[in-house]
Amino acid sequence: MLLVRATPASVDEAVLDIAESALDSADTYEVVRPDGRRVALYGVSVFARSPGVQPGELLRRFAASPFYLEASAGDIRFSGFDILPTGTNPDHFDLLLIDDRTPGQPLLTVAEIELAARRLVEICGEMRPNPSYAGGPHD
Amino acid sequence: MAERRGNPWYVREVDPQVVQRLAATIEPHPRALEMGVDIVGDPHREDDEGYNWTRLRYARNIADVAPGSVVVMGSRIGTYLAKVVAWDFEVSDDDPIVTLDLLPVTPDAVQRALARSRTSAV
Repeated sequence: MLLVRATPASVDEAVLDIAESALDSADTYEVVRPDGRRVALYGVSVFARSPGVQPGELLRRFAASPFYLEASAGDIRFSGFDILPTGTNPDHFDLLLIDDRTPGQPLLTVAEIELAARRLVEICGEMRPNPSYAGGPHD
Repeated sequence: MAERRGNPWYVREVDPQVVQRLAATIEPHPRALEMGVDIVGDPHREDDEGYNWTRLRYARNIADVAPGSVVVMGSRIGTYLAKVVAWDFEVSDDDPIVTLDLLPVTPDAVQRALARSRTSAV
């Protein structure tokens, strides 16, 4: 299974985008881990790309986004990030960037979350041009 | 819950006094002002019902994002149209979760259609 997230135009912006989203998620939701621990959900949303589905088809909903990141679920799990299903949409998941912060602890800063976000971006490798981008030529 | 998600016209309305109370206490969010959007949020997000979500503190003008409103949502990956479905006070009385239904059309496409509708065919 491949996991996809649309991004802004640069790696640094992508890292910031992911970290900010994970911070909001942790400020709003918590999740119970398999060992029973309750942790703040420092999660970032991704979509699964099933075999046979072209990137442009999946990314049509993100036509304002010039690039996207993609990695296999295996590579992501091997790097230590858990992948959590989110509900009614079987193709939507949260990647858990940080899983050792309880809901009662002060929230991390964006800069602190950026460390994990950058590691995730590095797992994905190069940023790929979004075939459905509607904003003109890529940089 | 499934009934709510299955009805695209579903809106959970909020008491106007609650809208007024929150409008009086929440300042326009700087990024919403900078981007010129109604509310800032990540278009990737989905809650357990498949709705998008963000927090009310990210709004430019609270009254513009009351349930039932159509809004322009902005993020670092552009702008998106959405309908506000509900405010969820489960996590905070002062900064509810804003539940949104992303619309499968782009702001540019809607602007072009509206421009055509304003043009006389004669």
